[in-house]
Formats: sequence, C-alpha cells, structure tokens
Amino acid sequence: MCDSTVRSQYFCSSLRTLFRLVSAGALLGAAMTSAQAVTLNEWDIYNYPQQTEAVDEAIKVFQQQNPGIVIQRSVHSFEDTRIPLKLALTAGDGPQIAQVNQGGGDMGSLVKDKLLWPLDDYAKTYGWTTRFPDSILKRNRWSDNQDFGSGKLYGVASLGEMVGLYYNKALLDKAGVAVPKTLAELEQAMEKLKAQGTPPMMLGLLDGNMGQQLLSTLWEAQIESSDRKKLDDLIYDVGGTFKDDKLVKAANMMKSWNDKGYFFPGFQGIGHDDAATLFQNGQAAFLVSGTWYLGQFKDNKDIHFAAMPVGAGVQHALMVGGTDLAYSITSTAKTKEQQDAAAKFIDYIVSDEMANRWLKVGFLPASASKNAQIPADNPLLAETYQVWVTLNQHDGLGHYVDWATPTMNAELNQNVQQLLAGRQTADQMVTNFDDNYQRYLKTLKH
Amino acid sequence: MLNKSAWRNALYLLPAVLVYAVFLLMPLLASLGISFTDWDGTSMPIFSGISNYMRMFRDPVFWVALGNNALLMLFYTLLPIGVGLLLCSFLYETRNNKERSLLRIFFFLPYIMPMAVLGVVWRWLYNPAFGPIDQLLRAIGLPQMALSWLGDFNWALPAVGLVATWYFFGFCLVLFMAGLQRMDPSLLEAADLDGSSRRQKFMRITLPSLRPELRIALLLTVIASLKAFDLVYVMTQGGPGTSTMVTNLFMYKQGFDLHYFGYASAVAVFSMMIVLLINALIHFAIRERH
Repeated sequence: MCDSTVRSQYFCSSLRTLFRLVSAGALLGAAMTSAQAVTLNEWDIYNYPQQTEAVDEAIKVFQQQNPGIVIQRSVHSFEDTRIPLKLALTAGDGPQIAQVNQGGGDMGSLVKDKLLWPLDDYAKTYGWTTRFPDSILKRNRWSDNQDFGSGKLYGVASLGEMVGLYYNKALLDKAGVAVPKTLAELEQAMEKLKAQGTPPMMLGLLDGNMGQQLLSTLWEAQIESSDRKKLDDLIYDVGGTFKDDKLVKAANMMKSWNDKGYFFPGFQGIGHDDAATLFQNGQAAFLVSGTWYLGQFKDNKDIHFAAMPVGAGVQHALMVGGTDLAYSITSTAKTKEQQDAAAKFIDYIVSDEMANRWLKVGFLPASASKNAQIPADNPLLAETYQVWVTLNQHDGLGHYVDWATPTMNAELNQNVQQLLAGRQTADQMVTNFDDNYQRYLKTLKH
Repeated sequence: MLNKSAWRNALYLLPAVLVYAVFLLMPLLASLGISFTDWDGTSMPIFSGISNYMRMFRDPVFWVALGNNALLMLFYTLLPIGVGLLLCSFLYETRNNKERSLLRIFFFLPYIMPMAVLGVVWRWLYNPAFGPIDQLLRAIGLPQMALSWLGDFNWALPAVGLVATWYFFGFCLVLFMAGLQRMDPSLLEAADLDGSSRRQKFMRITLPSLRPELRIALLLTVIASLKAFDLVYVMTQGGPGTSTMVTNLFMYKQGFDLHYFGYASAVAVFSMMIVLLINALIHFAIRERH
C-alpha cells in the first residue's frame, strides 16, 4: 500500500509511529495492571439511570476488592441481548459475562449450541443453591436433553419481580373496607366499593399484558405452593393440560367482575401504562400488577402492595412472577481463570451488598437478604420486599403463563380480550390455550 | 442526449443501480430465499420447501389480517379520494385566493406528520378515561356513546381507519387541485354556454381530466393500505382479539417477536405479490388515453 509518492510516504511513516505508540502504550498498560490481570467483558441491560449507576458502582467496588480482575461493562437494550448476543458468541467474540433472557428461544438455544458454561460447581462453592429457592433457580436450568426447568444451572439473576395486589388505602378506608386476604374478601370489598361509587379494580386491556397477568394471578392464587408440580410441568413443557378447573374458575371470576362493573369503565380501550397512571392518581381502589410499577407509585403514599388474596382453602398460594435476565458465563471465557473470575463477579452481583444497593435505588433484589437495609423514605418498597421474602420462604414464586409456548403471549392477550367482550366462554378459552400448548409440545423434539 | 458509448451510460447508471440493488433488490431476493427455509435469525437456515406458504394459507389469522387490509382500503383509499374530490370541487369554486390557499394548507397539514405520531395523538384522543372525544360525548349528555373505541371489537378498525382517512384526504385534495389548475378553463366555459349543470360538468369534464391524478392517488393510497403497519402498531397492536391485525403487523410479529423468519418472509413475499398485482390492475384500469 505504501508507494513512493511523497504524500503517502508521510502518511505511512505517521501510521508506523502511531502503531508504535499504541503498542508501547498497551505494553505499558499491561505491565502496570499486574501480571495476572483478567479482563472480562460484561453485557447487561440495566439502562435506567438508577440501575446503571448502581451497576457502575458495583463494578468499581468489586474491582477494588479484586485487584486482579477488570470488568469492562457495556449496556445494551433488551433486544440487543437476544440475536446480537448469539451472533457474537457464535463468532467467537462477545462478552464473557452476559445477562441472558430465560426461555427456549434465548437461554435454551445458547445452551443447545454450547455457548454457555454450566454453573453448578460455582453454585455449590458460593452457596447460590441455598440462597435462592428452587423455584427461582429452575428458570435457568436446562438438561442435556434440552429439557427446560431441570438439569444444569446456566445463570443466576440479580433482580426479582412479582405480580400482586396494589391497593389505595385512602379509598379502602373511605369505603370502610379492610385489606382482603382471600379472593372472597376481595370480591366483597369490590362489591362495597362499587356500591359507594368508587371504581373497584383498575385494568387496561388495549396493549401489554395486564389482562393475562390478572388471569394468571387469579389462577395461581388457587394453587397451594406445596402442590405446584402440575403448574411447573405445564410451564416447563414437561406436559399437562390447560383444561384446568382452577383456570376456568379464574376466567369465570374475571368475567363476572366485568358483568358486575367492577373494572374501571372503558378498560378495553386503555393501555396498561395509562391504567397504572390512572391508578396512581386514585381513580380505582385495586390494581393487580407487577413490582415494575414500584418506582412510579412510591410518590403516592396512599398506595400499598400486598400478597395476592388467596383462593378458598389455600394457605400459601403461588404468585405470578420471576426474575430479570440471568447472569451467565459464556463460552468466550475460555480459560479456567476467566471462568473463575466471572463467577466471582456474578456472586458479587447477587450478593447481599448488591441487594442493599438495589433497594437503595428502589428495585427489588432477587435474593432474600437477612440484613436488608430499606431506605426509610420508601415504605412501599419495604412492604413489597417483605411479601417477596415471605413468598420465597414457601417456594411460592409462580409463573408467567406465557412462558409455556412462544406464541402463548398473544394467545393469552387475544383470548382475554375476547372473554371480557363476551365473545367466548371460559371453557372455549382454556380449550384455545390447550390447543396452542399441545401443538407446541408436538414440535419439541428431543 | 445519451452518450454513444453504452458502457459509459451504464457507468452513469451505476450509483443508482448500486443503491437500488443493495437496499432493495438484495433484501427482496434474500426474503424470497429465506421464505423457503426455517430460520430463527441466528442458526443456519434449514430448507423447508413451500411449507411456510402452506402454513400461511392454512393460518386463519393470516386470512383475518388480509381481510382487514381489504377493509382498510375503504378508509385509506375510497374515503380520502371521495372527500378529496368533494372538497376540491368546493375549493375550485372559491374565488378568494387567500382563503383557498389557507384552507388547502389546513387540509394538507396532517400529511406532513409521521403516521406513528398521528397514531400516538389519536390513541390519546380516543382514550375512554381522559380522551377529549369521550369527555365531549359525556358532557353533551351522550354517555352511552362514549365507547372504548380502540378496545371495541366492532369499532377498533374503523377508529384506526378514520385516522388514515384524515391523513390522506388532504394529500388527495392537493393532488386534485393541481390537476384542475392544469385543465383548460375554456372547456368549462363552453359547457356553461351550452347550459350544462354542475353535476354534468363535474362528471363529464372535471373527473375525466383528473384521470392521471386519480391514478396516482389510487396507486399511493392502495399501496399505503396494503402496507398499513405504523398506525395499527401504535394504536391497537392488532387487537382487540385480531380485529385490527393486518398482514404487515402479522409478519412483524412472526419475525421479530417469535423469530420465525422463514414464515415471516413467506408472508412478506406474498404481500408483495398482492401489491404488484393490484398495482398492475390499477395501471391497466386507468390507462392514459392518447
């Protein structure tokens, strides 16, 4: 490329100088960061400002505690961690530590192509199996036969989430209603509120998953946590059926609430985020939704969070929920040294110290820490954390039902819209779910 | 004048052809290829013959989507062209130039905004809780008419469609106005002298001379209705149920949500063939007369 013209000679010599400078710098840098320094690239999706700050701080502290390890973080959008991550890992580069979405399309396909390392030995060393209940870890387990929910562990998550009952204390007090503990009490409370002219239950069906989450929550509220195997098998595609009496009962309950006018008027045409905002502004007494609204609701001191009221005869019911994306060690961590360092980092990200950091910025950590420090100005988070800890003591974290098949999310949303428009019965609906499910099971080949 | 050397001419064409090839022809051919495979976006595509097409023809949701595209044509094409023609004949009679330009600008305004933005605005206007439409209906004593427009199985499609009508009628109007200005006024004067009625003048003179503009309006609005996506995506996501599902949204969901890229490509290829076919029909039906 370097020919004899004066200009390109000048260009080439500058290039050479630059090259020498860069290599000298690199050598110097390497020499300064101790001989055994391990550099790990990390991909996460914590792109909210408070989250990003918390993770940056965590990396800083971790590196101070472990002088031999350098973490190079890069923040991605959720979509970016799916196809781009797999492409990068397949090409042999990409991060050594990455947050991976659970489920067959993401973590399952990475495991299948041997792009993730099993973490079972580290889980034993660091005690993750005792710190997290089975129901949480199972979401990141894949067997060698590609069975979801059993076998080796491929990730651990840092944040938890669950769907429960938000209520507006001021509106309940006005109507003389206590916080319901059972579904029957919830129905009585709604009847009273309705009679007094307060819209009892907020809902938004136009977009998002609020409708299917209410349905799943009412279903799982009737399932005793010690009796969860049937639901687990269904969701982890071991088999089973959606033609379940408790699901039919949940659907009929929703239908009757609609007939009695318990839902906020016009809910069919309201988006899920608009519904949350309306609830935040005191437009309805109850909202069944997830902990992702904690940050938004904390400024309204009337809003509280409670465990979902349970079905008749149930002691410790399941609650719909899960964790955020799990931290995994990828195949690009080739040496044992890199893998050990990556595991050490993951252990820090799920540690009690990190849990307190999450609580400080208003997020729900996945681990139930014994010495949790909750900021005094956020009582809503304190209540929610208590519900989370109690729930996990009974291994009661249930499932997002749409995990069962790739197309189940749309199936659930569309069917709930049909159900509440009076266009189909609860029995027809569960038949549709089951058709979808059995069709998918047939495509799973081991 | 063309240069005598064919090679040199080809060289001048090259940049345009290159851009066209890279951004249009190649993706198109790639889609065609992918439509005959099962592909999740990351692994190697597996050849599956015409199974994606067979699956598409058996998929009831695909047919619902196609039917909705056909219904949307009413709102994307017929209504805007009808309203455009009506307003155009009215504006043409307006002698005051200032008034005419001002009205024309107002009618055209929606067209300068991106459809996705209109979708967000109208989603708010239609909101049953705090949207002004339902608030107005309640204020004038018609609370039973304050529906949840976008969440109603019967009203969602017309509610989305009307936004497209509002978007396109100004564009049709301006197109037709330009056509009228090109028309020879002596034709109308002669018709006046012969004692033709307004209706006769419109049907016999104005409408036939707007033939090229009508064709453009038809072509553009029909294509827009077939590739409807942004409005539906922003306003209803295809719901409630599948009452506003359209082929492009169906394709998007199959491809980018579910990672069935082979199936999504089959839908895309089929949709493209429909667009080409309908375009050819329009070209054939409204030919230029020489």
